[in-house]
Amino acid sequence: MANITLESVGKNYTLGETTIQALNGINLSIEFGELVIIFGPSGAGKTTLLNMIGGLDVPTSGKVTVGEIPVSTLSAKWLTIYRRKKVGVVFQFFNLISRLSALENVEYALELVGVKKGSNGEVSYDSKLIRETAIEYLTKVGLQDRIHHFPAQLSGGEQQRVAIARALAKEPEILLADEPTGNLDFKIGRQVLEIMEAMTGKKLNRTVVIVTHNEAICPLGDRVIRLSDGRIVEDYTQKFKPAKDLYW
Amino acid sequence: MAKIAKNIFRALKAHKIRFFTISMVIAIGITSFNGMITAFVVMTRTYNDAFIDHKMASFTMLTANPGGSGEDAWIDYNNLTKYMNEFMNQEEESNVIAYELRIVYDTIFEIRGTRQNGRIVAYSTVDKNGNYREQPDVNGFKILTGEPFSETSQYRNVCLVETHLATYWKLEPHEFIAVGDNDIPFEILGTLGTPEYLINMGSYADIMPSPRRFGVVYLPLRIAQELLNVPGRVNEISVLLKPDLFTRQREGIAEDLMTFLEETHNLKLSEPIDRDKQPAYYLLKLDIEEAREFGYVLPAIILTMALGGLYVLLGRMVVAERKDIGVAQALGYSRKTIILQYLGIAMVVALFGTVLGSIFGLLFLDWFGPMYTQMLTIPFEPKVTIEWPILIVGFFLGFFTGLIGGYLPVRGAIQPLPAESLRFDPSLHITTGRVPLAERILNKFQIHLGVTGYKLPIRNFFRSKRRTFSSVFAVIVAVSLISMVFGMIESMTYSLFYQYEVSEDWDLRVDYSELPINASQIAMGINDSIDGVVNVTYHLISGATVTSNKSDLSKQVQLIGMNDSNGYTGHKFDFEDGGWDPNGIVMTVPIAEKLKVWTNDYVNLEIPRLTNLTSTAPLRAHFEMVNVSFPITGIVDEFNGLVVYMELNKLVDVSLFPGQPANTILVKIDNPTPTQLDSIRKEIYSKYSYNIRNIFTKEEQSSDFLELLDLIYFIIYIVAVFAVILSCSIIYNTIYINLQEQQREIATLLTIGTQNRKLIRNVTIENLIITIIGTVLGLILGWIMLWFFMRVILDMEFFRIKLFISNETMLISFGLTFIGVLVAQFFPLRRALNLDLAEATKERVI
Repeated sequence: MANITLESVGKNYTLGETTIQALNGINLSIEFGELVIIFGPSGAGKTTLLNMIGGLDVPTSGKVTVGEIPVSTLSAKWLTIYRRKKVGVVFQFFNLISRLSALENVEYALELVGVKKGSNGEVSYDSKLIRETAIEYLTKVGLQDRIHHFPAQLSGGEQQRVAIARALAKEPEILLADEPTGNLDFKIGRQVLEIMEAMTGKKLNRTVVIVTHNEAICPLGDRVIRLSDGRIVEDYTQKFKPAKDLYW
Repeated sequence: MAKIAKNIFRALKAHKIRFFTISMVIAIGITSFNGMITAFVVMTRTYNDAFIDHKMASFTMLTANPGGSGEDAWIDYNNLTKYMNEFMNQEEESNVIAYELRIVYDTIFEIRGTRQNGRIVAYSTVDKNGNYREQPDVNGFKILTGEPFSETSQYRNVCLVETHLATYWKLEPHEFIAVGDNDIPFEILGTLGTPEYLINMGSYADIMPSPRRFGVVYLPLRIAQELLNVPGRVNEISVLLKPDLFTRQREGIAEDLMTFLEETHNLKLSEPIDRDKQPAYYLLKLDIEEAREFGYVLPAIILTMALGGLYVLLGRMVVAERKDIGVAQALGYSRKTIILQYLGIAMVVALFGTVLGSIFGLLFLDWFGPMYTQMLTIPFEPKVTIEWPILIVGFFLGFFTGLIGGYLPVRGAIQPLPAESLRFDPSLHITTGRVPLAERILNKFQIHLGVTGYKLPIRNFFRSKRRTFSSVFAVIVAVSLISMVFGMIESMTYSLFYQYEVSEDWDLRVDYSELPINASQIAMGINDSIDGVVNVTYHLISGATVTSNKSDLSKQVQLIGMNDSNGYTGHKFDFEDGGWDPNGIVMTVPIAEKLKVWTNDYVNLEIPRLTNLTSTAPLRAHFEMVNVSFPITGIVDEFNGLVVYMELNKLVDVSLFPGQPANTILVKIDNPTPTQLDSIRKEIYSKYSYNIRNIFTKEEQSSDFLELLDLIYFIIYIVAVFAVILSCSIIYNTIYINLQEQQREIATLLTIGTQNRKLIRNVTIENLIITIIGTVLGLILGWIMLWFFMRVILDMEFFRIKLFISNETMLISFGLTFIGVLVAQFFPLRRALNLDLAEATKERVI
C-alpha cells in the first residue's frame, strides 16, 4: 500500500497583484494506514496541503508522490482516475448532489469504480450489487432508515454521514476530510468522527488525513502535524491515544 | 449612493458578457423601433408632401362611359371649361382652387415587340390663356429623366412614360413605343413620377399591379385626341379643392358639381372618386398601415424578449445572492437600498442598450429612413431628419424594459426580514428533493436509470420549476422565432408554388384588351392550327360585388366565368368544402369569412347586364348593374384570395353578352419548354394578334407576384436576422446561468472521480431534454406567431397564404436551436471542467 510523500512542496496563489504563499517547502511522509490530523489556524495552508494529496490541486514547486504515483505531474485525465480509484474526500459542506437521495449519492460513487467481488478482487458494476453495497455503507454510518431521503430532508450530521459513506464506499486507499465537523455541532461532530475512526486504520487498508482547526480533534490521530504560515511547525506521533471520554 | 454605484459596477463587471448580450437585445429592439417608425414617418411625409407639392386632385370624375364612343363617353373641352368656370363662380367661398380636364383612357402599348395593357393620360400643354405650360394645374408630376413636353409637343407624337413602366422596360428618352390599337409610334421625351400612379393599378380585375402588364404614358392632349379620334374632347375632370376641407365637404362639393353638370348641362358622368379612394392613394395607405404596424410589433416582440431575459437573469442572480442580501440587511442596509442596487443593474443594462440602440438608429438613419420609400418605389426624394419624439419614445421604451425586467424579480426575492434570507439555502432552493414523475413512470415499467447515466440529467431538468421554466422558455423563444420565420417563407413560397404548379392549369395565358365575342372560335383555332397545343379554354374576368344574403356584408371581388364545355377549365380547385356546380358559384375562404357565409348559403352578385350594343368589333356597349342570387357550392382555399368562380354560360345568360365573350384564353401545351412556349406565343401573336393585350407564361406571372411580395420577403428576412441574434443571446444566457448554478456540483463530481466526458454527456443530455420540450412548445408558439403575423399584421386578403410549418422546418428549428445550445454550453462547460476544484467545492453559494 501507498505511502504519501511530499518533497519541497510549495504553492503560491496570486490575488490581484499580491502573491500568497500557501505552502512553503513542505517535506512530509505519511505512512500507509496512518490517521493524520493536520491542525492549524485559518490560512495556515492545511486545506492546500490536503488538496495536493488528493489531486485536487497541483503544487507550484516540489513533488507529491503517492506510492509509485507522481500525483503532482499527472495529466488531468490521470488525476481524475487517481481521485476516482485512490481517494475519498469528505467536505466541510458535505457537497452531496442535491437531486440524488442518500442511497443514490453513494451509488453514484460506486457506479464510477464498481464493487470488488469475491476474494480475487474482481470488479462488478452490477446495479443490484452496487445498491446492496451502498445500503451496507449507509447502514454502517447509521442511516439505514434514511436511505431514500434527499439531502434537503437530512440534518447536517446525516448529510455528513452520507458524504462519509460515499467516500468510503469506493474503498479508497486515502480518505481525506477537510474540516468534517466544521459545520456540525459538538455532539454530531463527535458521532461523525467516531464513524470515521471506526472505518479507517491499517486493518482496513486506508490512510486517513483530517484537516481541522479544532485542537480538540488532535488526540484522535496517530500523528498530528501542525501548520503555520505554510510551514510544518510541529509533527508528532501519538503512540497511546487518550481515552475518548478524555478528549471529547 | 457611491456604495450602490460601486456594487452595481462590480456586478456588471462580474457578469459582463451576459449583461452585454441583454443590452444588445435591447439595442436591437430600440434600433428597430427607431428605424422602422422613422422609416414610416419619412414614407408618410414623403408621400404626403408629394401629394401636396404635385397638387393632387381632391376628387376626379369620369364620364359615364369613359372607354366608349358615344355622348356619354366624351365631353367637349371648351364647353366643359365654360361649365367649370361657371361652377367655380357659383361655388361658395371659392373652395375650388383649380381644375384640369384630361383624357384618361385604357389601351395597349407595344414595347420592343411586346404588347401590354396600359393607360393614356393626356393633359393640355397650353393654359387657359393659350400659353405653354410644363405642368397641368392639377395632378402634377416630376420629370425624372429626359425633358418635359415643349411648346411644339402638341404637334408631335411624343410622350412621357411613368417611371414604373420605364424602369421595368429600361426605357430611355428618344426611344419609341407604339400606342393604341393601330400601333402609332411615339417618341419618349422623358420619364416622370407622380403620386397618382405610385402603385400602378389597372382595372379592378387586375389584382396584381405590375408594370409588366399595366403602365401609364402621358401624352399632350391634342395628340391624344387625334390618336383616339375624339378631337376637342376629354373624359375626365380633376378638381383641386382647398386643403383644409374635410372628406364630407369634399364629397359635398363633388356631388354639387356632378348635379350641376348633369342637370344644368345634360352631361353624363360617373360617380366622383374622392382623393382617399383614389387607387394609388388607397393602396399606399394600406401599405403604410402595414409598415406602421410592423414598426410597432417587431420592436415590441424584441423588447419583450429582452425583458424576459433580464427578468430571468436578475431573478437567478438574486436567488444566488440571497444569503449576501440577508447579510447586507443584517448589517443595516435597507430593503429599499438593496432593491435600488439590483434595479440599478437592470437600469444600467437597459439604458446602455437604449443608448446603443438610439445611436445605431441615428447611424443607420440614412438606411432606415428611405427604406419603405424605396421598397414601394416612391419616386420622390425622402426628407430624412432626426425624429426627436421617436427617439424620446424609444428611450422610454428601453427605460421601462429595464424597470419592469429589473424590479419584478428583485422585489419578490428580497424578504422583509434578513433572517428569512439568511435561512435560505440556494443549493436546496433549486431542487425539489423528490423523484420526478417521469422517472417514477419509468420505474413502474421496471426501467431504472443509472445514477451516473441518465438519472442525473433528468433530475437536473426537474430540479426546480423556475429553473426549468426559464431554460425551456429560452428554447421556446428560439424555436418559435426560427419556426415562425421559416414558416413564413415556406408558406408563401409553397402557396405560390401550389397556385402555379397545381391550381393554374395552363402554360400560356392570352389577355385581351377588349372583349372578343368569338372566344370559342379563337380557342378552337388555336387548338387546331398550332402544333403542341393540348387544350384551350377561355375565361371572362370582370370585377363584381358580392353581398351576403344573410347580412349587408359585401366584398369587391374578381369574378371569373369559366368555360367548362370540354372538361378543361384551366384551373384545378382544391376544395375546402363542397365542389364545382355550374348552377352555383365557388368562392375563396377570405370572401366566405368576410361575408360570414359557407357552402349552401346564397349570395348576391352584382353583375353588368347589357342594355345597349353599339358595335361588336370593337365591342362598344352599355351596361347596367344587376343583382343575381347564387348558391355557394364550393369554397376553395387558394393563393388568389378574392376570387369568385362561376360557369361562363351562366354568367353570359345573366349578363346578356352577345356571342361567346371572353377576355382571357388559357392554353395548355405539350412539353412546355421555354423554346416551345416562345414559339407558340409568337404563332398566336401572328395568327390572332387582333386585340391581344399580352401573352405571358406562368413563370412570368409568378415572377410578377414575387416582385410584388419583395417587400414582405424583405421584412421576413429582417425578422429572421433578429430572430437568430435574439435566439443566440437568450440561449447563451440561459445555458450559462444553468451551468454556473451547477459549478459546485460539477466540482464535487470531478473530485469524486467523474470523467469529463461523462459530465459533458450529462450536461448535453439535460440540454437535449430542454431543447426537445422547448421545441415542442416553441413550434406551437411559432405557429401561433406565424398566424398572428400573417393573418393579423400582414393581413393581405388579396393573397391567401396557407400557413404551415413543414417537418423540415421543425427539424431545422430543433437542429439550429440545439446547435445554439451546444455552442452556448461549450464555453461555460469548458470553464467548469477547468475549475479550481479545491475552491469550487468549498463554495457555499451556487
